[in-house]
Amino acid sequence: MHSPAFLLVDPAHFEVAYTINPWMQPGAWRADPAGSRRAARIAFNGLVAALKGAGAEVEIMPGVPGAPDLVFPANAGVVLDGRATLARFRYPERQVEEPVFQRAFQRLRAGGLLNEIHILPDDYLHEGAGDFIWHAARGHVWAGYGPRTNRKGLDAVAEFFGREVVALELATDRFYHLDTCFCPLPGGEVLYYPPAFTPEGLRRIRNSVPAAMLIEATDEDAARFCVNAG
Amino acid sequence: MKDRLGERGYRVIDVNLDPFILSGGGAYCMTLRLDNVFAPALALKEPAE
Repeated sequence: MHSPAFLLVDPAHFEVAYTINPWMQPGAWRADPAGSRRAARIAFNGLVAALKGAGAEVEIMPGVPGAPDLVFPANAGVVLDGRATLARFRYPERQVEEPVFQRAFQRLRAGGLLNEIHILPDDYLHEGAGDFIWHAARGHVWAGYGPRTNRKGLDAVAEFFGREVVALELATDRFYHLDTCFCPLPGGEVLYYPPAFTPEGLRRIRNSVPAAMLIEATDEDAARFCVNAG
Repeated sequence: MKDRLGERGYRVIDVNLDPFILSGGGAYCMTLRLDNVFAPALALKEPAE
């Protein structure tokens, strides 16, 4: 079995500089920027150590000044089967990341890790793997839309990959990407936070997965980002 | 959560990512999986309802 491979972004230029989701606390960061930066470095190193300790291969690309959320490359695009779509971000604060990730993907293609890169038209919104999660055990994709990704962007990415997609509408800006509230597990179970979904989204989850294989996250779990796992 | 996942055979690794949660992201957001390939679904032994 091969090792899982992950792309991460160095947090040297990470900061909480603006507010585009309800979690963001620029004031808390600014209260002690140097301490916050040190804490971010320690946390990042802990994540890298955990991934490598679990047997993963980790590639770390440098950060870029003025693009603090570049440290969240799950939103860079979708990579499946050696093919990739690049993200189209909703907010200008993150749109600056698009050319950075495009260059990163081009390097991955030059290195043989990618065969094809697809760029969506300007008026499509799709925020990458955070809203398009392949569930190998079930053989289909779970896709989120609403707060960031729009339905048009979801449909375009789904068409590019040509696989079965279960589309789930997100109900709140607090859980703005599917990966904040939904985690498919290798044994076929699904860990999810029900209040994050519209009634139709919940119906689709519960129609797709037997109740005994659904694991509900609590409010506390969700607030600690426990569902944002892999 | 950790106990519930452990009961199902999963190993949970705790990583403190508080500085990134201040920005609305966690472990999954901080990674992009590069090696996923399409393959047929597993033959899941799904419990009866």
